[in-house]
Amino acid sequence: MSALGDRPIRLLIADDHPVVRDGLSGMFAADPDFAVVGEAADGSQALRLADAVRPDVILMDLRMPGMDGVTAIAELARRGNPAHVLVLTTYDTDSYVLPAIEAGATGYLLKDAPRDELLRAVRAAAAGQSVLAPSVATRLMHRVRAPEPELLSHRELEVLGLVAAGTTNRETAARLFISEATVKTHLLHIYAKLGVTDRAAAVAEAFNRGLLTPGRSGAREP
Amino acid sequence: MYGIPAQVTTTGATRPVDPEVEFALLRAAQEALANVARHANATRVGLTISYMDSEVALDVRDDGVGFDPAVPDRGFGLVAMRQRIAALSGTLQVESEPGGGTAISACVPTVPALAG
Repeated sequence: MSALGDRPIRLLIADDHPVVRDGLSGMFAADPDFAVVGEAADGSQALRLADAVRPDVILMDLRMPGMDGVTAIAELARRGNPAHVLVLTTYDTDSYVLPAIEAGATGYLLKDAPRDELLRAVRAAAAGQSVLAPSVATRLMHRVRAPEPELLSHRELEVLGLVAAGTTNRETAARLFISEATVKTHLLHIYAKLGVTDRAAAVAEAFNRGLLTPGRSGAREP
Repeated sequence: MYGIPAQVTTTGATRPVDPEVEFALLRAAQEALANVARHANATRVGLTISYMDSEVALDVRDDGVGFDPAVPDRGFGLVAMRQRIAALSGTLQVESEPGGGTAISACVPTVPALAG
């Protein structure tokens, strides 16, 4: 039974590996609920085909030469293309999952998903429902439990990044071209928001909460 | 003004503040910028308005000749500025040293203190 009444779900497959495309294509062709209407080897080809053939669901790999999957997903959303994107990839780390979801992906599955799960996921995606691989769902849960990114203002993160890089208040003031008094005021607010009482604890807490990431403390030059 | 490029920066969530606070900060900015123009011999001046959760800070920093803050007020209008800011439960800080530029910071609470 198709999720779209009596017509099959129109599917576009975007993956840079021909073997993967063939495998997926064959798998869906065996089921009359699906019609594979296009295959793309990278993001830009996926965009062109999505405009041309108007699929219901796009199975999108993330790492592809040329335009990657996340860029393509964001561009589809920008163009108002109604296709639901189901990410199908090998990677479940934050650096892949979060950007893809934020860009507008409806679901996120890993390539080790069983056949039935994949078919079910495409049906759900066609109906606009989110389908997430369990490990991906876990990552998103952690993200939701983590503090709001707005906990610290941009300027507070800037100040804390400089502190994390070992910059003194005086140097921070010079760098930001403000008074040391205002640097200290920012620090007091940062301490209060993080529930700490000194700069070392603030830096540690900020790393723990993922507000600062190693190498991206905002102060170090590359 | 006076040929020194002034760079204005705003940080935090901008929001309307009490007219009294706005006036005091505006006067502080005028006074500080006038001091930079008159005394600092600066090549750069930065005016930063920092909107924080419960206060607003106005910083004017220059890279000019600086002065020794321990030397009694030389009529830079700092006394009047300090009084206006203090009247709003704020603080005025002057940071400077000879050769090291000057930073003036006026910081005023924007959430009215509870009575008592």
